[in-house]
Amino acid sequence: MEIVTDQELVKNLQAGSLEALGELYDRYRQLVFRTALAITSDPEAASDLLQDVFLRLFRFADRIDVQRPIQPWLYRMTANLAYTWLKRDRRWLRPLENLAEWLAGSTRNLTHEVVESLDDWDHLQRAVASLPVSQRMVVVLYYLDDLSLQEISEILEIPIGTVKSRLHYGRLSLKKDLSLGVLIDGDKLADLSLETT
Amino acid sequence: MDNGMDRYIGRCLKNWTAKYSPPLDGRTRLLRNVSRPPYTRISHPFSEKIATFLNRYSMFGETSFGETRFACDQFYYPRQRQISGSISQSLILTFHLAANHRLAN
Repeated sequence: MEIVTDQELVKNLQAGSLEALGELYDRYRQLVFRTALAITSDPEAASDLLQDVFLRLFRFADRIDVQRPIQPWLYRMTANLAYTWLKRDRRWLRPLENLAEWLAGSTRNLTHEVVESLDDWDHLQRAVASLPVSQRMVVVLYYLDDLSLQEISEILEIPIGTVKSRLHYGRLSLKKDLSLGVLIDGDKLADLSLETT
Repeated sequence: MDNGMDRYIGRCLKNWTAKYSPPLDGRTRLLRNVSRPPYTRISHPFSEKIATFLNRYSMFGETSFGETRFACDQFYYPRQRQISGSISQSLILTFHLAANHRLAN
């Protein structure tokens, strides 16, 4: 079976081909969904954003430069829509979440035993979700999508120095939240105690 | 950069997101949504009927409620649009009052 390139698919999409849209969806749904999920921390929102991103891809296909790869466009649209979703739909939830966290006890006050009993993935996701949105987007694009600083700069349309700064402060916050200490073999955390906080 | 920490953060984030998958019917939903027109006119048949009724006996330049306004065709547009927007208890009451007023006169 002949493999159709992204460029050809985008050209077909610009001609109104729904098949091309479906093919692009199959190719990049994981990329869009996981990025949206990591930014919003909400699977349902990520599903909705996935639909929104590809709907916009179809509606604004004529504005896409066929000569350039499609991934940066998808990342940019995902980040923008996720940002809008967080600012618009979650704004009123933030005080409630803060209250719930305060009532349940902040993760920063967890004891050594409790921290160690938490699932590392979920723990890190909560730490990422607690980052300011601007830092969170950079952290997600850097760590989840393995994009370079230059690529992130172009996708978010911010200077590379700003990317570095946000990544730096994001890492500091994550380190503080996760209470990261000494690493053994660069793979497994040896110390999750609160000494570093 | 701390490579160990970077690897740890990247791995945890990837593993966490890998626990979830996009909906299976996503492609079908997308193609169905794309096939729809971008804007759908919302119609309120019942409210339109009431608006038509209220305006049926109006004189040119007069509202359904007897007030005289500027005699121009455009005048009815905002009134009709406002009435066709929603139906409430107060609007239904107004409808009855207007009908009684017309019958009495």
